[in-house]
Amino acid sequence: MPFTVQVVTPDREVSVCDDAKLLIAKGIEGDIGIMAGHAPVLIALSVGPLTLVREGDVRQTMVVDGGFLQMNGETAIVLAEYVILPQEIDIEATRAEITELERRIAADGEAVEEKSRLARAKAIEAVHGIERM
Amino acid sequence: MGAKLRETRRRIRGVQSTMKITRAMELIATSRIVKAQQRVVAARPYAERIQQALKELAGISEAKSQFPLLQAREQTRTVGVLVITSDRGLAGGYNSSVIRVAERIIREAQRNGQGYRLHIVGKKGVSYFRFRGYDIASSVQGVSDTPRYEDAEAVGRRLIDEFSAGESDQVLVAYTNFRSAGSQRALSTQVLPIVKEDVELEPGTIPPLYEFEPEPAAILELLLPRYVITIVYAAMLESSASEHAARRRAMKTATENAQELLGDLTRVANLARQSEITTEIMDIVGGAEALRKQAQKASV
Repeated sequence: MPFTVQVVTPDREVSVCDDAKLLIAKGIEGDIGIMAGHAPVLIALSVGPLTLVREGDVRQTMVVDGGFLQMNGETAIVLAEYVILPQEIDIEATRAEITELERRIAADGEAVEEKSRLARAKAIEAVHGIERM
Repeated sequence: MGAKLRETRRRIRGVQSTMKITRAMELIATSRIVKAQQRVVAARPYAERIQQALKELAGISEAKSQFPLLQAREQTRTVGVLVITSDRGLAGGYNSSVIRVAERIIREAQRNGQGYRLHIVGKKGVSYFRFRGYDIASSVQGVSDTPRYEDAEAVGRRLIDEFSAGESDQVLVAYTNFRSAGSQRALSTQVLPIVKEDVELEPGTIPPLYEFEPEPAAILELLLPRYVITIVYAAMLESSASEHAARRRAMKTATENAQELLGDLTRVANLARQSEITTEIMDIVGGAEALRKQAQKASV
C-alpha cells in the first residue's frame, strides 16, 4: 500500500508524491527505512539525502537540512528548514558554491553559517552523483 | 506669456511629475503586498506543525522545566527587545507606530529598574534609536523588504543565545501585525521564554503515541529554538506585508493630494491666461477706439 510524502518548510508546503513505497532517511541516530503502515514516529534528521522509492521502483532523492520526519500511517511529513527537491538540484551552481564556501572557511575558521551551508552543498553534490548512477 | 502664467505652468509640471512617481510607487507596493501576503500564508503550515509537534512532545516529556527556553525567570533584570522596521521610508506612519511600541517597552523596563537589550531590523529603526542615544545590541539592515528564513534564523539565534546566557530574562518583539491590506497594527509579543500555553495540549487531549528517535527530550531540545525562529520569521513576514500596505496607502494619499493640487493650479493658470487675454483685447479695443476717434476728427 503506497503512502503520501509531503515536504513542509518555512517557505512552502509541497506534496512530493502519493505513491511512495519506501522512504529512506538519515536520522541523527542512524539511517531509517519507512514503509506504509509504519508505527507513528517522529525522527530528528541530520543533513543529508532522503530517498523515496515510488511505485514502479522509481527512486527520487532530495536533500534535507535541519529537519524532522513525521510518519503517521498514510502520510510521511518531512518538516525541515531546508529541502532541495530532486528537480531543483543545480549541480553547476552547487559546485561553485562549494568552492566559494571552502575559500571563505579557509579564511575564517569560525564561519558557522558557511560551514552548515557547505555541509548542505556537499550533500547535494553527493545526491547528484547517486541520481546519475 | 505673463510671469504668473509661466510660474503656474511650471508648478503644474512639477506636481505632475511627482504624481507620476507616487502613482508608480503605489502600483509597485500593491503588487508587493500580494507577494508578501503569500509568503505569510506559506510560512504558516511549517510553524503550525512545529508548534503541534512541540505540544505533543511537551505532553510526554515530564521534565519540561529542564529546558531553559521554557523557563520563566523569577526576576527580570534585563528585557530584550526586537523591533522590526523598514529600510525605506515613504510608508506613512508604519515605522513610527512600531518604534513607539518598542520605546514603550524600553521605558517601562527602565521604570522598573530593568536594563534593556535592543535589537533592530531595518534602517529606519537603526537611525531613529541611534539618533536618540539608545544602546543598540545588534542590528540587521537590508532584509525587511523580503525577509528570508535565513535572516530570521540569524536574528532568532542571537536572541536565543542572549537569553540562554542570561543576558536577557525576557525577550519581546515589536512588529506590525498584518490583518488585511486595509488594517495593520503595531504590537508586541513575547518570544522568550516560550509562552507555556502556546506549547501545551488542550487539557483532555491525549497525545498520539509516537515513537521518538532520539528520545523526546532530545527532540524537544531541537524543536524549541526552531519554534522561536518561526515566531521571529512570522513577525518579519507580517511586518514586510504591513510595510507594503502602509506604503501603498501613503502613496495613494499622495497621488490624490497631487491630483487635487493639480486641479487648483489649473484653475489659477486658466484665470491668469484669461486675464492676460482680457488685457490684450482691452489693448486692441483701446487702440482701435483711438484710431476710430482720430479718423472721425479728420473727416470733420
